[in-house]
Amino acid sequence: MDKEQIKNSVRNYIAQNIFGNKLPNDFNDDTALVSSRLMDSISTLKMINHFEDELKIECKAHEVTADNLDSVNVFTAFLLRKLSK
Amino acid sequence: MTFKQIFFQLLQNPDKFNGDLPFLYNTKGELFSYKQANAVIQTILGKLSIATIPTATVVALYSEKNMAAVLQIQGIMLSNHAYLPIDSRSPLSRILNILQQAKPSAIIVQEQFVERLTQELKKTETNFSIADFDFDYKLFVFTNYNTYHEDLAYILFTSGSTGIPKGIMHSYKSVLAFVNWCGQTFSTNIPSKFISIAPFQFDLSVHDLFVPLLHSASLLLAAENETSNSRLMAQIISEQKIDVVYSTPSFFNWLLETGRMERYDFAEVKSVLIAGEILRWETVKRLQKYFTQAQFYNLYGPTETNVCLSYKINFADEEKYNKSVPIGVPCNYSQMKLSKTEAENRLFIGGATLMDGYVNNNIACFENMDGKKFYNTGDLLEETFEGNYAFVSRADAMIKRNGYRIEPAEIETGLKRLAGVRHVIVVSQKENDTVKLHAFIISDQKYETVFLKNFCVTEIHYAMVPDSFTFIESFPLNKNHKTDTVELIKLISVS
Repeated sequence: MDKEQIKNSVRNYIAQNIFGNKLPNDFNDDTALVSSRLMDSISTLKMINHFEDELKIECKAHEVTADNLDSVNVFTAFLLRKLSK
Repeated sequence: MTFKQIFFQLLQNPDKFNGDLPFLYNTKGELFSYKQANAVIQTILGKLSIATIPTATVVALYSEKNMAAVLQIQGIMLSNHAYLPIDSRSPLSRILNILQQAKPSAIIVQEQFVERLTQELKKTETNFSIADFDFDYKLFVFTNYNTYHEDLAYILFTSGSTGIPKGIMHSYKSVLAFVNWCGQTFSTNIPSKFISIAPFQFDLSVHDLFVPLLHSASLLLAAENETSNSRLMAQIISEQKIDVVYSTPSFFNWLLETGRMERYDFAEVKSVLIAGEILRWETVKRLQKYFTQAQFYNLYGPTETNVCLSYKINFADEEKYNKSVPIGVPCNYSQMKLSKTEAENRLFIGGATLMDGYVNNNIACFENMDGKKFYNTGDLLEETFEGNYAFVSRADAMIKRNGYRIEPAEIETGLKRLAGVRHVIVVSQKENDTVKLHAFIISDQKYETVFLKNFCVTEIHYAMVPDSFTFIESFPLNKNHKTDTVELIKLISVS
């Protein structure tokens, strides 16, 4: 998967699981997800698990922080870093 | 001797407080022995004494969840005040509402919250002074405060059906009955290790704050960034060799679903206490695969009564009643009555852990039955096997989500603060093990979803943010001319 494919996959996951179906008009790839509490801890951890399984990567407990998850762009960059290791 | 004096004697046993047993610690390696904790508590007592805070008043604590806060709570109680924990993650408007209702004589405020609280209090022309306190805290002292009775131990604010939070008052009689019962009911070996997961404004924390103390046990304080990360929680419970874990079904389901529990060994866990929501057999059966050495308990009780029924889980009982895990039989300090009609068995609870009442609320909150006070829980039960009861449903609109008690009226009131919003109805919908909240809004002005979610976080409470917002022209009515919530839910996918 390349960067755009991962980003699309993250967008789709958020649309389905956070907003029920489609992304709202005022959502963009830099919209804060965790620090704004748009996503709670349950949905955050579910998202991590989903991408671990999909991309066959393993995230450490201490990596589950807003620093790595806080927007579509930030999370995509984190996933790319994990894939490159 | 008063209940308060008995409680203080139990907690302040000199043998224990002169010892080097570990009392309070965190995962950063910081630790207070009983002796060190006592020295800090005495300092807090001294500072509250110098500030001449009047007794029979409430001292609020506005802090993150940390070790200092645990010691501050002990200090507040031992200086003859009731404690009122404030959720530092709550919107300031909600915090101010709570302070206005409870009118504490003082607030111990963590440094990082001092400025914004000061600015807001100045707007309301409240008379107060600020002094340095222990750790990185300040003490706000008020000239205008409420007085309460001497035996009041704590006030916890929860979601209110009138749209504003309501404060539930508990006495030392309640605390003492509960912690003694815990000691008799759950086998606790010394030195046990407890973990504090619940926030202090959540009633499960009453167990975490006082039961370990009673047993000379130690308490690992999980920080907020840890309790919001299921993987860290699984790792901490395992690596710290915790004996007693107390939390909600939502927490344990979250741990099972996302905590990667298969990576860890939980053989040290001896007691798993579960409360706050309906518990499914599936959840405890899955937990048993990891907590192989644990005894499981399902505890029941609204904040107004604390725990009042309990059931020691026997997995063979699923054959006798499989709809949910029973909530069991009344605790030895509780009295229960069922108001039976053809349609429902409504639960009323009396006894030692019954609250003193609501803060500033003159609406009758008790029922007099046979000359004794009872609280109408609004919970409907059914009798199962061998005298055990099970929770069936609520008689009103109150919702439980992730262990939090949510009154739709509080969300509706919050959303009506938006310009143009005329009517709001919040409906809950069960989805597997979770509860979704859907807001339906009649408004002259439309708002986008991200804006609305951010508004709810800053104006209501993070646990109450709806999952969806649907703008509609009018609410559909059923044949009784009431809002048809089934039809409303159908509109979500259309919007």
